[in-house]
Amino acid sequence: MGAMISGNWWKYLGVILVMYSIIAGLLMKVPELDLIGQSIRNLFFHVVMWFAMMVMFIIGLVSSIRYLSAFDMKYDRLASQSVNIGLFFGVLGIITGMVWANYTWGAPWINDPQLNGAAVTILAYFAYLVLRSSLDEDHKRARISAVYNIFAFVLLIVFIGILPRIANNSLHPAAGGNASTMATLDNSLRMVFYPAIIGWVLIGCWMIQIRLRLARIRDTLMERQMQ
Amino acid sequence: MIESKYFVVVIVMATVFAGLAGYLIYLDIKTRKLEKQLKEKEESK
Repeated sequence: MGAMISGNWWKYLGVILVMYSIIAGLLMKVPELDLIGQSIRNLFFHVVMWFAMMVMFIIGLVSSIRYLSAFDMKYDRLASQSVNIGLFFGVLGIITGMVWANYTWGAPWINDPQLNGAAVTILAYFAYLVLRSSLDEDHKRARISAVYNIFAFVLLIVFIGILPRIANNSLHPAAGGNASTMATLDNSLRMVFYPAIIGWVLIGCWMIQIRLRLARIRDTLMERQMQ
Repeated sequence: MIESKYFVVVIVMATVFAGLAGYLIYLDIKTRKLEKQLKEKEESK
């Protein structure tokens, strides 16, 4: 039992932090702003999903760059799984955002630079998965998808980080001249917000690790069958 | 005073997440067993 926990402490920490964010996020006293009201609690889920997605995509970017410098397939596998889990968080971010928008802006989707940028980014990363499935040869797939992954990350920075900020108007925080969430966040909310990000990132890393291990087992079994 | 309906939401969300975490733990243990079996087969060759 001790040995099982010692190498996996970070996984249990992730579970504890996310559980804490769910319980505290829904029960703690929150500042009630106009229009938003109690739905500000969605900060601990919606925004956290995007942060977790960003970390997963950064892991994928670094892995793709490392593959292109070393041509070691382990980096390609890591990049692929990071994008998979990043997309999982990104889709959850979109869904939680739509729920929030429905109750505060009156519609689940509006013609907004931030929202459209986020949607385009997610589609660009889904295209990464389509690209990978269209190529049969391992190293060819790894090379081409690594290059695409780097460009997809640049697109992410442009469509989520730059274009919404220079847009004329937007309803989304930190876009179209609006104040940034991070700059104006109440300190009491930070007490749940930051642990939630760390927790979900650790959970994301755990999911990547399990997928990598299962892929390795599958590859070993296929090698044995071919022998 | 926190209304009781908040506790319902908390319990539901905590239960759903506990279920997901439990599934991850189950996958982790199953994967570890498979890795151990493969390693033992490799060593017995």
